[in-house]
Amino acid sequence: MDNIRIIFKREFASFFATPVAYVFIIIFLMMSGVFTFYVGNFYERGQADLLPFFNFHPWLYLFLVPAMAMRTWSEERKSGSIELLMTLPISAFEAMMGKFLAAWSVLGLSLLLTFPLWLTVNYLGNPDNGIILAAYIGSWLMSGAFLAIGICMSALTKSQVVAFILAVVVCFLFVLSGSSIVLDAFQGWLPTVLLDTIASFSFMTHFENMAKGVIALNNLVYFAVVIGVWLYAGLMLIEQKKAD
Amino acid sequence: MKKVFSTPISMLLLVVLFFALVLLNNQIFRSARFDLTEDKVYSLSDGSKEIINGIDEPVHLYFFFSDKTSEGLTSLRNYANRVESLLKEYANASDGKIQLHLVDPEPFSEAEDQASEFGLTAAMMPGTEESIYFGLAGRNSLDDQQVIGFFDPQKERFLEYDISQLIYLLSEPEPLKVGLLSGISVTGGQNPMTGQFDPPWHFYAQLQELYDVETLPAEFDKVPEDVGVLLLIHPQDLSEKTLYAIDQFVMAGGKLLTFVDPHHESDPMAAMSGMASANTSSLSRLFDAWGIRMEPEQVVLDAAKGLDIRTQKGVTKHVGFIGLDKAYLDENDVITSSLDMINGASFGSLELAEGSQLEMHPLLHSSEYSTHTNAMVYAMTRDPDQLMDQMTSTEGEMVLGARFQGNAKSAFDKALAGNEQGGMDYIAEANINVVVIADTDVLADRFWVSQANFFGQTVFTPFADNGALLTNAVENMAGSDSLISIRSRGTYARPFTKVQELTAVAEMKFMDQEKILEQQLNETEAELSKLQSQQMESGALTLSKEQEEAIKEFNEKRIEIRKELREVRHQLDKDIESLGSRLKFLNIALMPILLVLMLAFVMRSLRTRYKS
Repeated sequence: MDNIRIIFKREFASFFATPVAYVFIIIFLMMSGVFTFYVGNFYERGQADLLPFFNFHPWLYLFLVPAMAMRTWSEERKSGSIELLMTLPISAFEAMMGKFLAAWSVLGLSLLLTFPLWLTVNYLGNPDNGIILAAYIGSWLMSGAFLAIGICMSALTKSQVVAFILAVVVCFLFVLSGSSIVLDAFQGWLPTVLLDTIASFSFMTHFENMAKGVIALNNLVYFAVVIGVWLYAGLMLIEQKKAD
Repeated sequence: MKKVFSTPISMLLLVVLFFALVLLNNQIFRSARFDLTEDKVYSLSDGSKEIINGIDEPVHLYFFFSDKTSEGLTSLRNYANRVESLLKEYANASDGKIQLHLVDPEPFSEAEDQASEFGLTAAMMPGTEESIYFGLAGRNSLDDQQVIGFFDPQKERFLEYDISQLIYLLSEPEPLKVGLLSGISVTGGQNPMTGQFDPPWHFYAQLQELYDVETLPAEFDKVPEDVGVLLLIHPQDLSEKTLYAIDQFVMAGGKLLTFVDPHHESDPMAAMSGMASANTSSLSRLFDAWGIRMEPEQVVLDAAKGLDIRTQKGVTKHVGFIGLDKAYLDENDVITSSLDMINGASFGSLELAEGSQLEMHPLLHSSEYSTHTNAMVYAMTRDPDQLMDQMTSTEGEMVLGARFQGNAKSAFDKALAGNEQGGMDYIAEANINVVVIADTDVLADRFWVSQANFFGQTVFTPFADNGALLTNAVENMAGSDSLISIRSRGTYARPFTKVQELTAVAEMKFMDQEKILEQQLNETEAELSKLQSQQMESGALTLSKEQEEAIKEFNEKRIEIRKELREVRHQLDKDIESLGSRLKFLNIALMPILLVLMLAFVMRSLRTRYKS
C-alpha cells in the first residue's frame, strides 16, 4: 500500500510538473462548456438539469482520456526509465495501481472543477441535485474505464501515438457496443443472452442509467470489472515485455 | 507474477473471464439499486407498499416481453429491464402474495396464444417485421383479469401508478359505485319547454356504461355505504341534512368529485328566462369550513384562451368560453396528463381559504391574460365583444379545477339532531380528498361532443376531452388513498425560474409601451383603409395627389410603428439573452482560465513548501 502511495504521489506531481494536467483540465473545462451551451443548447432548453453537460462526457473522454493515458507506460519504456522502475523494490502491480490512481485523480479533479456549471444551474432554477450527484459519480467511474483501456494500450507499445490511436479505437467500440451499428453485425447468429451482454458492454448504457439518478449495483460492478480487467491485461503486457 | 500460461492464452482467458463477469453481473446485481433522485422516483413508494400490504389473496402477474424478437432494440429493452426490475420489487415486497411470471411470447408459441387470450396488443416496431409484446396481465384467485396492453416508454413516469392500479383492482374486485346528486337534469326526461323527451347528457350515458351509477334523491340523510365516489353536479339549495350527510361522507374518507359553477349557462330553463340572474352553484357552506374558496359570483374571462364562436356578426372570440389545451392542464397528474383539450364556459376560480390546512394541486388553469367579472353582469351580457371590452386589466393565471387533500374541519360543530348517519359517529376533523372543477358547462354536450345521425343511429364524436376528464377523475378517486398518493411522482419539468422572473419583469416594463404602439398602428391602419375605401366609393381610377401623399405618409408611418414594435419585442428578450451570454462566457472562458490559474498557484505553493 505504501508503495502504491509513493508511486501515486510521484505520478500525480509529475502531471503538474509539466503543463500536461493544466492543458488537459483547461481543454476539458472549455470543451464541456462549449458542448453544453452550443451543442446541447443548455440555456435555450430552459430546463434546470445538467443532461446536456453529461451527455457529451463519453465523447469528450473518448479523445481526452487516451491522450492523458498514452504516456503512462510508453514514455517509461521509450526513455528506459521502466528498467529503473522495475529494479526498485516495488511490484509491477503497485506501479500500475499508483499510475492509474494518479491519473484517475486528475480526472476527478477536472470533474470537480466543473462546479461553476452546477452553481449556474442552481442559480437558474431548482434542479434535482441527487440526479446530478449520481451523474457525477457515473461520469467519474466511466472516465476510470476509459483510463484503464488507455493505460493498457500504453503498456502495449513504445509509441505514444500508436497507444493513443489504439486506445481511441477500443474505447470507441466500448462506447458504441450498445448501438444498433454493432448489434446488427451480431444479430441472427448469436443467442439473445450474448447479444444482451454485448449491448451491456456499452459505457453509454451504464452511464445513462446512472445519469438518471439511480446508482445500481450492476453499473458499479460493471465499471469495476472493466477497470480491473484492462489494468490486469496491462499488467500482463508489462510482465511479458519485462521477460522479453 | 508467476506465469502459468503464455501471454496469448492468458489474454484469451482474460477475455472469456471478462465476458463471464459482465454476464453474471447482468443477471445477479441488476435489482440492487440506490435511488438518489429527490422524490425517489425509481423506488416503490409508500402508497404502492400499502397496496401490496392490502392484498389478501395471491395475485398472479404475467409480464409478457418478446425477448427474442426485440433483439437490437436497445432502448426498448432497457425500458423492459426497468419494468421487470420494478415488478420484481413488487414481488419481493409482497412476501409471496404477488407471483411474478416472466413470459417470452415467441411467434406461433403457446405463450403467444396466452398473450392474445389476455387481450394484449402486439406492436409492430419500425424497421422490423416482427411484432413485439410488452405488456402485463394480472389474475386474482377469482379469475378476474386486468391488463396493461403495452408499456409505452412515453408514459414512464406513470409506470408505478399503472402497475399499482392493476394490482389494486385485482385485490379489490368489487365493482365501483358512483353516487350522483345533480342540480341539473342530466339523466334526460321530458323537456318542459318543448314537451318532448330529451336524451340523457352524453357524459351520463358514458358514466353508466363504465360504472354502477346510483342517482341520489334531492334530499338524503346518508350517502349509501357502497358508494365509492360521490359526484355532485351544480348543487343548489341543498337542505341542512343533505349537507351534513355530504360533509360526514367526506370526513369519513369518502371521495367527492364536484362540478360547481358561478354561472351555469347550459340550462334551457335559465336560457328561456333570459338569464336575468346568475345561475350559481351553492356549496360554499362546506367549502368555507373545509378551507376551499371559490371566488363567489365571479366568472373568469381569458383573453388568450377564449373560444371563437359564430354570432350574427360573424366569428368572434368569446372570452368567457374557454378552451384549455395541453399547456393549461397538469401533465403530472393522471387525471389530466393524457388530455389534450377541455372546453367550458363561465369558469369560477379556486383558491385555498386563509388558514386552510389543505393542499391544492391545480388540474386546470387559465392563461396569464385572465381576469374576473361579476357573474350577474356576465349573465346579462349577450354580446361577446362587450365582454372583451370588460377586460381592461389582467390578473394572471387562475386555477379552474383542482384536487384538494389534507386536514379539514367539518362544517358542522356537532352531530345534526335527528340525523344519526345510520349509527355512525360524528367526525369533527379528518383528512379529506376532494376534486373540484369550477364549471358545470364542461359537462354539457355542446362543449365536447358532436352528434350525427348515421343510418338512424345517433353517433357521438368527441371534439374535446371533457368526458375523459370526468371518467379519469372518477377512476382515480375510486382507487384507495394510497393509489391517489402515487399518481406521478417527481417533478419532471424544472424550468429556469430565474429566466421566468426576468421575463415577467421585462413584460411588465414593455407591455404598456407595446399597447400604445399597437393602438397607433391600429389607428394608422384604420385611416389607411378609410382612404382606400374612399377611393373605391368615388369610383375614381386614379388617386388625387393629396390622396396619394396621404396614403404614402400612412404607409411610412405604419412601417415605422411596426419597426418600433419589433424593437419592443426584441427589448423583451434582451435581458434574458444577455444573461445567457454572460453565463456562456463565464462557464466557457472565464471560470476555466481562473480555476486553472488558481490550481497552478496552489500546486506551485505546495511544491515550494514540500521542497523547503
